Amino acid sequence: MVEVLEVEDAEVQELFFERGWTDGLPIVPPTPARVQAMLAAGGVSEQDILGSIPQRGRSVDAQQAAICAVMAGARPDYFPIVLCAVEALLDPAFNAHSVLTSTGGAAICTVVSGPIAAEIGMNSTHNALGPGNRANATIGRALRLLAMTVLDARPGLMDASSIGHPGKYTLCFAEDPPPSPWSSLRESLGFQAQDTTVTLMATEGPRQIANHLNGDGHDVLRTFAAMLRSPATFMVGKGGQALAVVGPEHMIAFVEAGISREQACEEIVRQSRIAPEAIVRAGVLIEKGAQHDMTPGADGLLPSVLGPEDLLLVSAGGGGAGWSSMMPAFAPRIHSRAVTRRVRGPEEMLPDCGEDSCAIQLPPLPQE
Amino acid sequence: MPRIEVLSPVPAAEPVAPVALAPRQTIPAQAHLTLICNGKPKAREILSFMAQELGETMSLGEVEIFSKPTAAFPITDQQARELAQRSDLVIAALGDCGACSACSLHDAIQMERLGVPATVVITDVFQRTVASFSRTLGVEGYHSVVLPHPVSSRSEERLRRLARESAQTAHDQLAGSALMLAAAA
Repeated sequence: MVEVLEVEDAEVQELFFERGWTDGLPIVPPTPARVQAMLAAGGVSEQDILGSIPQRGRSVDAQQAAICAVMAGARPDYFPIVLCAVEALLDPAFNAHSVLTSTGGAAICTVVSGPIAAEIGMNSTHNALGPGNRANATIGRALRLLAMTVLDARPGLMDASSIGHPGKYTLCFAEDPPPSPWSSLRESLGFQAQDTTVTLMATEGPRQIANHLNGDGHDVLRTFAAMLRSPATFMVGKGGQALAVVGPEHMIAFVEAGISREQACEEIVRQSRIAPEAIVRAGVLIEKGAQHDMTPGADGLLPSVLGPEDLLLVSAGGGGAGWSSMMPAFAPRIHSRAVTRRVRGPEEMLPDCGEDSCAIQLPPLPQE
Repeated sequence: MPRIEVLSPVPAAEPVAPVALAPRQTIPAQAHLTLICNGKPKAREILSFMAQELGETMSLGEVEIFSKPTAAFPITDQQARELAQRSDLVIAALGDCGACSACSLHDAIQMERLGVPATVVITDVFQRTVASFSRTLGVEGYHSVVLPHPVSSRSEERLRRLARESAQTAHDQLAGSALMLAAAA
């Protein structure tokens, strides 16, 4: 049951700050009318359950997601994306319970691939990961606000992030359709071109990749691998996932060299394998007998990214010098995996999960 | 001054059903001690050393190390039931990060719910995090064996000393002679 507060208009912001219901920035007050408009745009009812985290004793319903979307400053037409992202967040494979608690301080990196991104005005080009676009900023922010309030991930308490990073405010952008013959992210993940998908990965902060002078796609792949292969990155040597934003110049380099998405992923994963000695030279110890198996492979090397399917390449960014961006997962894949869900339009019903407890037939009461 | 209605993003506080701890009865002779190891570096070592120390003050039979594949998930309900069938005492470790301390705490409380006295080993910097999760799991103020952070980079000699210094605390928490929860009940 949601609590309704009656507050002096001038006091709303201070109330939300005092109660720890913000990310440190002012919010849009979630009035009943604003929340209803959000729900209507998503085609969902207040009590529709989006998912749960049993370890926290929390389930999330559509009304709570709508409240956080309003607070974030989202428009109602963004809400189908927000709903989809919340469902992905609560997928057990993403492991939000640990992602939101870890000292690693992960961002909820959110990538939208498909036609709805452009329809709602998301940014996929200049400054794609930066400020200035309402949809990018508020969709990502809605997820973080939900994590902090509904899921109680508060710094120093149930969010034990040591350092954190600015991506925890918001880290959401849209895919810029890649040049032919590259397929879109969603198609590479098995969805249809006409679908819109939301992909979540729990990531560290973005590391900017620079290769401005070399137009050879094979050399640019090496640059991506070099950025990944950092012994100071937690998952390196243990095997995780990563999401790379491929800027326009680097996309052109790949396409002109005849490098497909699959080849690019295979090569970057292979070339980012790292020698145990390189890790030790950087002052990092190799785990032995612990949860991360750091036994070298047949090539004597350890993985940064576990396999080609664990590297997501997303075309985005504005034209200009050869920039891209690499976001490693905050932890090895055994702890959390990226999740991709298809966006349901407001006309689509929530999936029917089959028989549930409502179908239990209670035995008749004994006759007196 | 105009007033407006706003909806709270935080769920209305519903009292969490308190979880009853496993009764602290006399520890049986040749007790089966299960160490739920989450695979964090030095977790196995600190657990093994603590078990050795406990063996000086308790009659322990089999000491089993149950290894989780990842520190980021609690044990499953089925695993908990199976462990409860054969364990007299449980220690879960090592909670030296955010997610792992929450999950190891969860492991210990799962065992308590199934009637097995338990405790969890954490490092001091995670006491607030563990206290928050204890509340949501229905055992406000649940006990823990608190070690100075960090543990994972310590030498074997240091780990043995930590185990020696914390053994009495672990004993009391498992045997029930120093329960903190009586006041919270």
